[in-house]
Parts: sequence; structure tokens; C-alpha cells
Amino acid sequence: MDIEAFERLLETYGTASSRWPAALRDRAIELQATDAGRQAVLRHRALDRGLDQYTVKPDLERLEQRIMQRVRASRSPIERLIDWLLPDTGAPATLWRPALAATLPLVFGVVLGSSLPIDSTEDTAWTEQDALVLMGLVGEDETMESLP
Amino acid sequence: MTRESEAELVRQVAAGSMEAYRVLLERQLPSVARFAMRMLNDPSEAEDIAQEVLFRLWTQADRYDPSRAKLSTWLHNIAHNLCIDHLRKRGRWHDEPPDDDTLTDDADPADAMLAGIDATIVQQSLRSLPESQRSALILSYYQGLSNRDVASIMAISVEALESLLARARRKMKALMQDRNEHERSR
Repeated sequence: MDIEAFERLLETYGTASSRWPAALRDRAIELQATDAGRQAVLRHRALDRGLDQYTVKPDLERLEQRIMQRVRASRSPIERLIDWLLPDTGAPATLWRPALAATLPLVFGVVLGSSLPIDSTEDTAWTEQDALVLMGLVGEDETMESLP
Repeated sequence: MTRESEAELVRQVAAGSMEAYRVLLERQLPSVARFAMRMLNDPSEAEDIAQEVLFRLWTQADRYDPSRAKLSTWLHNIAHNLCIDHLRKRGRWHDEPPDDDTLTDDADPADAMLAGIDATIVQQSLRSLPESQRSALILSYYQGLSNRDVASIMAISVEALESLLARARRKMKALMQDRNEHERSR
């Protein structure tokens, strides 16, 4: 690279060496240290200073919340239930969280089964109707206490 | 963060890890959001684009191939395409017109005309830049992507990118001088 090529480099990438292509950087830094190189840098520095005036500041916190909200909403109800039960804590979680997901139908079945009312009188206990029928069948000397 | 650890995090995201996703989100969102803001010049539209880009990291993480590009390049590629689509839909994206020769581009004396430039002048000048020059300048100068990455995102050769960049900088200088002079004369 000669000083003309260095000038073209500045015209293209500006004066900050961090923006120069890696393959040209070492030689360009050498040229930058020469008188001609310094003059070339001075000619292009004003434009970089102007460009650097334009900074933007997006509201990253709010944006991040919006994105996480959308990500959570995109998950299936089962995944959301797992998230609620066991917040994701990193790499190990990626292994056992699917296993936990697989057990959820079983857990659901147990919970559903235990929540149903168990009718203990179905086979063994007398209903009021049964009792009345039996009372009609038993003899006068027999009392209700003798009934099972 | 090395490219390998970044690739591992993306793999975890593809497997459904929100923790890995949050790490990548915190790392990549600032750059993508700033890029969208500079491209669109509208904070609200830029937020929508940035949100969409980072949401795609969640839904399409399995499509990312670390052997082909850095994650930031992949995301900037998506962001660039979304910004262009967005601008086209609003009739604000046009093929590059020929350079405007009426703009001055003097050397040293004109540099003095760049003194006192403020962000508004730069922003307005950037908006007036032909679109491909604007993309090249934002991706290369402001986003700090390598020339190969920018060329890949814009689907052009490195030589074509360098030509675009040189023209973009010349045009920016002329536009900023023009606007600055106009502001001073008011």
C-alpha cells in the first residue's frame, strides 16, 4: 500500500483504524505515522467528526420487555406451565425440562383423578330408596336397626 | 463471547431455552435497534423492526448456521431486509439515482464548513443519501461490521461495497456542508 492507496482507504472507511479492513490495517497504521499520512488523516477527520455527531438511543429496556412478552406468549400452554413451575436456569434445564414436560400428562391425570368426588355409597351403602323398599319387605317385628 | 459459545447459546435457544435467549437478546438488541433507527428514522417503526428481528432469533434459531456468518451479521441481514421491505412498502426506497453534481465537494476549505455540524444535520443528510449508499454507510461506519459482512448482507462484492462507501462519504460531506451553510445563513 502506498500513500495514494492509504488516502483511498480513508475515503472509504474513515480515519479510525478499527474500521479498516484487517488485512490492510498494519500497513495503513505505518503509513498513518508518516507526514503524508498525518496530512491525509487530517483531511478526512472533519467528516468523521460530523458523522459521529449522530447518535441514537433506543429505549432498550422497554423494547426488551416487549420482545420477552411476545416470546412468552408464543409458547404452548404446557411450556408456560413449566416456566411457571420451574423457571429456566440454563444449560442443565434444557435436558430435564423435556423430561418434565413428558411427565405432565401423568401429573395431570393424577390431579384430575384425585379431584373427582368418590361416591363411596355406590356399591355398599343403602340409598334412601333402597331403605324404603326393604322396610316394606321386612316383618313387623323387625326393626331398622337390624338392617345392615 | 466467542463464536463457539455464541453458537452454543443459539443451539440452546433452538431447544427452547429462554435463559440462553435472554443472554443473546441483551447482547444483540442494542446494535439491531440502533441500526433500525438509523435506517428508518422513525423510533416507533424501528422498534417494530428490531422486535421482529429478535423474535425471529427465537422462532428461527435452528436456521442459523455459525459456519456461514457471525450471529450479529445474520441478525443485521434480517434487519436490513426488513427495513428495505418496510421502506419499499411506504415508497421510501428507490434505486440509486445518479450522483447530484450540483453539490459541492471541495477539499480543505469545505472541511471548515463541517465545523459545528449537529446530529440533526447528519440525520437529514443521511436520509437524503441514495438508499444503497445509506445502507453501506450505516452497516460499515455506524454498525462497525466488516467489509465482507456488509458485502454479504447487501449481496454485492467487496469492491462494489468500497465504491459505494467512498461515494456515500463524499455525498455525506457535500450534503452536510450544504445544510450547515444553509443553517448558518438563516
